[in-house]
Amino acid sequence: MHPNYPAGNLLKGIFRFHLIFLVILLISTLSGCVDQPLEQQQVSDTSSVGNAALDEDSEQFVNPTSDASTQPPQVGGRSLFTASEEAASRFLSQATFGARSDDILRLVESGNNFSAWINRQIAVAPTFHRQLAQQQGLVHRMDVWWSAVVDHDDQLRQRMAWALSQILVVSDFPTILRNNQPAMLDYYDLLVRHALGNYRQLLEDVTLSLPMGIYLSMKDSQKYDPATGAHPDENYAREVMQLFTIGLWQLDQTGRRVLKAGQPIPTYNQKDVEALARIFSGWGSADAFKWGSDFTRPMKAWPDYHDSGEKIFLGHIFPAGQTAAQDMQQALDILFNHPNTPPFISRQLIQRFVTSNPSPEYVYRIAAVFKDNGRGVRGDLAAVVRAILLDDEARRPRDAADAFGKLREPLLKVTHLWRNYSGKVKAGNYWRPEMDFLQAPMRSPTVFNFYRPDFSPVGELRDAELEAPEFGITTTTSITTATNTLFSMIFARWDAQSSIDIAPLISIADDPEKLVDELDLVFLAGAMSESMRDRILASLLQQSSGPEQRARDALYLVISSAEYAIQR
Amino acid sequence: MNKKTMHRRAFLRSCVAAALGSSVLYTAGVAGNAARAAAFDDYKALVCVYLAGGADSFNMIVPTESAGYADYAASRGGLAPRRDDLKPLRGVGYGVHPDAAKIADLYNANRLSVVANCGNLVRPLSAEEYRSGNVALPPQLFSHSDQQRLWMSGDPTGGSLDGWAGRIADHLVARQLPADPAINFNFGGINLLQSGSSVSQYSLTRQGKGYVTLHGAKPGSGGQRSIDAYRALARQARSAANPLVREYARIQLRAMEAVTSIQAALDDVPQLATEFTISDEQKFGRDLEVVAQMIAARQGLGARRQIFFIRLGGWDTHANQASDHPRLLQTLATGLDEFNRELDELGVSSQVTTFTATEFGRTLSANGDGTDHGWGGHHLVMGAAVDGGRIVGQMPDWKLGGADDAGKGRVIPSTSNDQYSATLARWFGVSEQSLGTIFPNLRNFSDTDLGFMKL
Repeated sequence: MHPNYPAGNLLKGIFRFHLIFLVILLISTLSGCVDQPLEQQQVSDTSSVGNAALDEDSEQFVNPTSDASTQPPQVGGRSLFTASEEAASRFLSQATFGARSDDILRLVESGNNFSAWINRQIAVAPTFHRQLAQQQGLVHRMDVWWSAVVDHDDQLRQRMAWALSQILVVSDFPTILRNNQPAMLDYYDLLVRHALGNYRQLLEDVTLSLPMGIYLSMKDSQKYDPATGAHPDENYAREVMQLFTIGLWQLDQTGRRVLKAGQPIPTYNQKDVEALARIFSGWGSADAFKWGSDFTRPMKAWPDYHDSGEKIFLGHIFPAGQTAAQDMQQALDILFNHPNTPPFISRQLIQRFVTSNPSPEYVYRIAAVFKDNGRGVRGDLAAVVRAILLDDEARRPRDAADAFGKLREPLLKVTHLWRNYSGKVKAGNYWRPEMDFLQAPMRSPTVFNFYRPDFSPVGELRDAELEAPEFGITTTTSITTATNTLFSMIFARWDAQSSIDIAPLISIADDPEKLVDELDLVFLAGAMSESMRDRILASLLQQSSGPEQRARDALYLVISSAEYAIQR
Repeated sequence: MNKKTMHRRAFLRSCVAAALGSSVLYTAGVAGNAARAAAFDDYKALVCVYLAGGADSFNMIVPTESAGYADYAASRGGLAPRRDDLKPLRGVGYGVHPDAAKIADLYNANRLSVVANCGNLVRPLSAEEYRSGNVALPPQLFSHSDQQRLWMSGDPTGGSLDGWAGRIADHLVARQLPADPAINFNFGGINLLQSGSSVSQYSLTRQGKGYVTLHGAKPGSGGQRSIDAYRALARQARSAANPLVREYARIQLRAMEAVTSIQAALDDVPQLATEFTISDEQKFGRDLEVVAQMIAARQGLGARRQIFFIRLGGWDTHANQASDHPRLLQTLATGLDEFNRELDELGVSSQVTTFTATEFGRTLSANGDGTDHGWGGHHLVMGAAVDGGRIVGQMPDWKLGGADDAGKGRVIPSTSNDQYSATLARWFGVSEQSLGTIFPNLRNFSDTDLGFMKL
């Protein structure tokens, strides 16, 4: 503790104790209604200003003409934040591309009505990347992505699309896709369109999309040709099962493997892959089978190339004479309705939004919503993400000592920074985020995404059997290149590939404690440890720099810290 | 995770790391290396060139005798290279795809050998046994992620979260091999092959000189106080309550510590004699160049054993094989040739062995314009310590439905990856009694040395 600042820390300590007590109280009063619809379960707050204000605010929140995205966020005059601000920031860190100071205030003013926030997010108009590129005259796909996720209001939808892009992976590593960026934008828009829609429709559109058809070579796959011995391509058939729906092993509804005599049970075998390859044969681009050049439309069935013989897939008979479309529909229905799909997809989504190690019960609850949204609909992604974010495991107070949370994806650190400080890619700068972060939208090295869901780094985490997917791209080099890139942005170095405006921080930097509190609230949702706070304050006070330098120093130390790196 | 995998892991850990007191070594520094180096007074490196995606090596090494070629060409549909275009391998009835002709040159100069039809196996296997269905098979055959995991882990139970190169490092460290800043080096993300329990893998970069330091790390550049505070925060965070925070902090500190010695050593390396071919699409040449620099810096680093992992992607040629595959072969052959020349320049050809690996071979049969996931395939092993100019092991029957066909030309391997890897590990200095621990599946094969390394 720095000698000049004992009072604030003491207050904060007392306040935290108070906060814990308050939340325990709230939980105990809510515990009687666990069987009620989720809308009633979210934690309300004593500083609620009532429903009238909520409606007013909600309008403001979703209104695309609101200046929320263009004005620098307002920084209040507070030196300590409240429990509800902390809760709001934490929620927004899970649900958006980075909590913003002004969004936190608005959510608090709504009484932290997270459910209403999600409702508004579901209603807000989607930002389609292809359209955005045209409107803003953006040349490069990456620039479009930054703009869509940083500046636009449909945050939950965009964050879901981003999560889905890491499950239903298409990458522009193949040259033919690298050279067709509009088609890549169309693929991403497909994810945006269905992000809060239904997984079954999403799966079908993905299956028939041209970029996926190229990436996993279902496009132009044709029935067995006795003349050449060529057989239908097995690529998509395999990965749609292994990665997009049911996974390799039979799962129970908590997402854990079912064991038989101590061994996991495969969900399919090579015969199923071969049957599914036949089922998926006969699709080409809309203008021609083979050598088609139409990148704008989904794939089309070309009957001459479809294997219309009888097939048996996962024990289901596909009668002879079915069209390519009938075969495809039947297969996707089987995969979508397979008992593995809800826990398999739900668990990965929890990992993308909330925590790397969800409890089996958490997975079970989300899988149940995937199976039935309460109105008999399976695969309702809006209901799934609502359940993920409002689940008690996501919302209950942090226990500092448990392993809750996830390593922030490196790109989400950048978006968090930019969302708060009007960050922009420098005009015309074709940015390759994967060089610094080992991560870039639709640029995974393989269909297995940047990291696997079950990755665990050597050492303590593995010994404790904790999964931590994002650590798979956190190497002794990438941790430095990523930190350096953030450094360049924050210190406005010549090599920074973006500009940010930290005027709001500079305006409070005369008071280092207020400065650090603001950063704690916005970036760590109040999780900053006393020792970290003291260390940063001590570092700031050692220097005789002015407010601007102090603001930059503090921001860098927070953004580059291990405590911020873990979204908790 | 179930109990079984727990036990398996605990078993592997206890065997490999029995002699280790601490969990992760990263602190002794280069100065400590010299003192501990007594047990290893020579230098050796293994360089793994991982052909990611499942390489069609059947289109790289091709039969040239008329009967064999006829069977081969019939099986491959339109994909077979023309027989007249093949660059012959001396005296064996095989040739190399014209776009990989430099591989034939290396072979004919006794600098390289081919390990034929090698792949993941639990135990030796015939086509009859395979068809009977009553034999132990690698789990999830033909799946990228699983076959890669099996090759890297060497553990067909699927329970191991270690890789064999990581376990080699554990083993050598237990025998007092210096381990700073690392034994295993890679590019890009963390890989399973190099994951062990005692020493972490170190990631190099293609940028700059192969390493990066934190911005502002140099005194006078204006960022020094940020660096100091960054380090201080990371040190504090090592004892944070949340284990994920602790892990991140450890990587921060390890990055700062390790780069110090790597920077010093690499900055002392003179310009390499060889100009590596680097294309925009494939950065393979650049990776090889950085590896060559690390090898050149071995004395500065105090290194006695290094294992490098380079990933060359793009081999999952389900489609467009006729246009994509030759380019890949050219990249591979050019890179290997240049790397070999640079190792000669550095005078370490007999101390560095380069080898290829992949998750699986590809189907002999075509799917139209590409090939699907297969099983066995050929590997290349290069260096002056290699008994060069040989085809090691058995070439398969090239006929579809033939003696080695598990279906559609998925060729059952006649040599296991365990045998292949163990042969390399033995040369590298792994003791006989530890081979069985590092390769737990090796005991299912009678021949644990394929004989392609000179002693």
